[in-house]
Amino acid sequence: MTITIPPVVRLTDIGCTFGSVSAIKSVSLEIQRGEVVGLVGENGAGKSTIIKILAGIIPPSKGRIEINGIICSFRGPKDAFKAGIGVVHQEQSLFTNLTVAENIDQHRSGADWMSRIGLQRWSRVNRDATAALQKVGVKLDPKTYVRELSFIDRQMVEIARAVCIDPAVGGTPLVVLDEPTAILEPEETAVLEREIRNLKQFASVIFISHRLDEVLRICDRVIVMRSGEFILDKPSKDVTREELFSAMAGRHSQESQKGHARSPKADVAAIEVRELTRRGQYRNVSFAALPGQIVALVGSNGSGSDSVMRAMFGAEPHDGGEIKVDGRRVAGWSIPRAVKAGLAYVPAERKIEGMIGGFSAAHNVAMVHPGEAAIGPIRLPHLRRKVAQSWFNRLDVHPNNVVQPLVYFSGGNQQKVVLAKWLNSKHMKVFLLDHPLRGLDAGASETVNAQIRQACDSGAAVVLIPDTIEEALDLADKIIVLRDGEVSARYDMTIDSNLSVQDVLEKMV
Amino acid sequence: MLNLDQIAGSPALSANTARKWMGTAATALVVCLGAPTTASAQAKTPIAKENMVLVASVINTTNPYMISNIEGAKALSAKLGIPLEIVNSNGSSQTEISKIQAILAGGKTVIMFVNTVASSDAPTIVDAVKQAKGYVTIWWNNPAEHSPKDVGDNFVAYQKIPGVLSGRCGADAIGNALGGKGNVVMLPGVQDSTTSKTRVAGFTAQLKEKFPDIKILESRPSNWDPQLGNRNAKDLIVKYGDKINGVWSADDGMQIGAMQAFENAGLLNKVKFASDGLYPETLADLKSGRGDKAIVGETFHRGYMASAVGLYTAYLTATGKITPSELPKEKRESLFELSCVTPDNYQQYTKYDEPDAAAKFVDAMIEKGPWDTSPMKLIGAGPEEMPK
Amino acid sequence: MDKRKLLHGDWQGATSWVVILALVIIVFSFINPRFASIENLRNVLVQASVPLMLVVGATLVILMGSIDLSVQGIMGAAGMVWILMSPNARGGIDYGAWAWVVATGIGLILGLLSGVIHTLFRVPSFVVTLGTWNVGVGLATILYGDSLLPSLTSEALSQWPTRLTLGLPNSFWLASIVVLAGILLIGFTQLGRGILAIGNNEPLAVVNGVPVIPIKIAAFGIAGLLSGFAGILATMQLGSGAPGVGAGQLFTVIPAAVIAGTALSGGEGGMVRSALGVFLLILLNNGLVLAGVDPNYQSGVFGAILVIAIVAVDWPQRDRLRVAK
Repeated sequence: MTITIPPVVRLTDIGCTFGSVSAIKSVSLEIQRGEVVGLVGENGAGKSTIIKILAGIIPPSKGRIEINGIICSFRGPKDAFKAGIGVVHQEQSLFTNLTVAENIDQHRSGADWMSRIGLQRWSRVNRDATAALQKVGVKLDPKTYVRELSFIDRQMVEIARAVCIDPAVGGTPLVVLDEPTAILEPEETAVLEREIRNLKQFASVIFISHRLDEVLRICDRVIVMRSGEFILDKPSKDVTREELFSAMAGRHSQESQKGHARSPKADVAAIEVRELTRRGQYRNVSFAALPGQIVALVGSNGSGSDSVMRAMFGAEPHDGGEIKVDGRRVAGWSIPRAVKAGLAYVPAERKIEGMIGGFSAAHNVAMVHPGEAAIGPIRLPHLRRKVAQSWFNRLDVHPNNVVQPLVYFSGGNQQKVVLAKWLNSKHMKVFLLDHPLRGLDAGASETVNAQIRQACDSGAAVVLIPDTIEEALDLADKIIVLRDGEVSARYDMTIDSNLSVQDVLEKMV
Repeated sequence: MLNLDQIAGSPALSANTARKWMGTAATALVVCLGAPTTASAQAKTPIAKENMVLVASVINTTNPYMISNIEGAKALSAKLGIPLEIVNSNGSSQTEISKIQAILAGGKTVIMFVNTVASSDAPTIVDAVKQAKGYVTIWWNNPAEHSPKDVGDNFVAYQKIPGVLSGRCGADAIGNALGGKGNVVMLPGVQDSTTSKTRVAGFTAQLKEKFPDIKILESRPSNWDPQLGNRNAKDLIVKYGDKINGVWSADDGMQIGAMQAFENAGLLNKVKFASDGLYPETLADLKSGRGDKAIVGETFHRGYMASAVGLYTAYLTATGKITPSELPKEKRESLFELSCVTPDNYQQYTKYDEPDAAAKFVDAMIEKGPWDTSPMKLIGAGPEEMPK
Repeated sequence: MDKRKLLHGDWQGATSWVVILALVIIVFSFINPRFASIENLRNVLVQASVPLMLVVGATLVILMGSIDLSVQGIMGAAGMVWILMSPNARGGIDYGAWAWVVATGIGLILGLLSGVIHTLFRVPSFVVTLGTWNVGVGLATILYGDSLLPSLTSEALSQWPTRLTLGLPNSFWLASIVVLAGILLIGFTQLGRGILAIGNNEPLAVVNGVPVIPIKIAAFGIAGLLSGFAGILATMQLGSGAPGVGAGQLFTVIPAAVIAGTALSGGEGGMVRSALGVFLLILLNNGLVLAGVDPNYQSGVFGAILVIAIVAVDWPQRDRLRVAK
């Protein structure tokens, strides 16, 4: 007699419709124990819907879900969790004012007699959490408050929570990682990759990311989604990056030519910092960006790169050193003066600092530099809409509705609008870009990158904090590596053209 | 024994002596306080009763004084057969003004009594009433320079009971009870209220003039609030302990809170209290001799008398029975009588708290006119003069 | 179990609070030695007990990111109900312990009502509790009517709050029990942890299966119950019933919680800190009286000292105030 182990997940003919729109047409999927499956696709392809169905947040309109051989119908997230599915959502979903242990224990109320009468049994909660943390191999005090943790540690807590399955169920857990690397720094991503390999020993993983290289490196198998369907499902070793891209986007990647042919447009740096220092943040940081040049600032979280950039934009004070714009030293630097001098800043926290969500897209575009939307001090709504419409066409923004509040656009399209806000002035000298591709899918990333290059070609200098080291290597003319607030390495890409990810990473940690 | 005669130091009539303090001694005795003059009524066409509405505006509906205001208005409304509307300002000038404006918009001839939240409300309200061709009497709070005679007949009168008198009553009661020696603390009301200021001025002046050996330790404004009176009294007990021999409060509400604090500290037997208003509870304490006869002095006046007199004066104007512009000064800026109450004479006043007291007062008032009804007769003309 | 660690979030910044309170006491004692006397400290404890009870309920609600304005109304209603059912000058029957049950029950019902309307009809708590505030005042006013002021005729009851047990006034013991219960509720019950979770991220709490609506209703119910309880205590302290027995409490309690670091947006803060905030406010008021500050200057001095104290408490954290990060 042979015992056949059922797959951890078997989805049969799953579909999901919202009103008349079908987000998922009809998909089927099996994941075996210990398998890491990559799920890629552009925004709106249906990945989030699949995850929400698995997480029990929305029910499928049709089809069958089997987890470890048992047919499930989830009434809520708790049911999904009880069945053994742990989801690490794209937006961090931890209660920052509660302890690590409590967050891990979130789904397990009623696990002992005390909690059944409404009391919190800390000894049990902490014990279970310690076990879960050990299982994923993380050394964290379960009594720490989450707000005191770094991003990567928080991610680890989420993973520990995802695998903290009720022992009564006993099956193999499925961990769904929804873009876990989007906001991680490169060396943190390395930690996560190691973690996923560790997970394989006792769990199955669905891994979602926009970074195709990463997906191919981490996953055993890759599934591409487009318009609510699985259109490609192959082992990672049998598929290439280009193949994935064209399957996702339905077109070929144009990202073939690298832009190192650029030459500086002038000798005087558009922006330069000299011996810039802020106590407790960074020390003696010096570099310059010539017009037409892209300078990448690379460093892990806490290296001070974001603070340097904010200081350059006048958004934060600095204690020592100087900032020069067009070769002239600036004093009493502030955001209004920076904007007037032709600086643009795309912040990492787009939703908080980069845009006004309740305003229409058109309002956001014309906010700083109204350009043709204003005659003198008077802003004219119809001109504003016209200006915004031309940017929508140029940057291919969806949905094509300039009066819709910006908060209702997807991340990639929001970022295009944020960029358009600065591009709307013809006299931009410097672009300061903090993680401009964060959370963007491959297609949107390409559009944004193309705009950055174009701005460069027309004589602007760009200072970039990239999401990945690859991004820096692809785009930049110069790379400045920061470690603990100090410059640890400088590379000129015209000379160091053979620079590898590993080289840069070594200088970072 | 303590009464008005002692205060004035001469055995004259109480109304007479009171007038001396007011600095209005020169004012001729108001002789014809009988039936209202009807001589000037012919100029106006009388307004039919069904086109009139009585309005009584009060600061809130929880304070015993305000409740009594409403009672008087109800009694008059029943007597005259004119509907009544009550405005509850909820302690807010804004609420007061907007509610009054809403009623003025109703189109009927408004006959109004307003117990203003703040002095500064009066001009606004008077203007609005004038616009709507109604008639208003303001009670208690009105700016000194806002005189009825400057506004016209729609601002019938500004009436009040002199606070200085009230303060002097209290000072005499405490001064005599302490034998002219000792220390007192004061609990004024809202600090910048005219009513509180005049009472405080009367109290301090009387102490200075008649009991120079009584020392005022401290004065803590307690916003007419029993809780705050209670809290401030607690702090003062801690600060001065048994040095305190007497407590004067600007009204009984605060005194009730203060007495509880002294009782809890075990000091009620050793301290004498005097205040203003003779609230039912205070009356009960006076009767029972709570503490060691802790309450030594009170003043008597009732809200229903104020509202009845105020409304009736306006009513007489509306019906053309009087013409304010032809009245003497004291009938437009009026000061009414206040009675000093002691543990010996309080029985005289209990009849004014009988259930039908308001109706009886209204009956008497309609018979004798608004200025000559006991125990709240007209005693002089405002504005009230503060002691030096 | 490591309690120190658990209460860590609550105690954050509590040390600087203790320092500030100690400083306030020292400075006032220099001005008037009676300030630090046992007698005055007892007096402060009596005065703090009503706001202490209230601040527990207020903190629960504020921690969820809601607000409860009904405090004074509920106090008035519960206080009136209690005194009319206890031995009072108006006569009537003395219902003994039932007076407590009915009065706090009124508070509980009004609180639950706020909670139900707030959650089920999705009306902002600010608006709902403004309504229940007035309902409470209305109820109290009706009960008060226009007859005799109901003063407490039982000396045992009217003296109970200030009487001492083990050297401390009874009302403070009562308030301490409530505060302790509040600390335990936040730290050791799922209700408390749920309140924190809701305050931190309500949509996330919903997705995580936290019973958001029952928790919110329960929190408002508890706040109402405590307001009712405080109304009884205040009435007892005053020795007579008045619809305005809670006057001024709302603006003691909410500022106390907020200056102590309980964020109005929810999620941050705790009972210990709110209680310390109450003490700061009460000590300041008391100290200014004992210091003999002229009443004309008292408001100004009070405000100035308060601002200085808050800046001092937040000083170590000033650097964290970055641009929206």
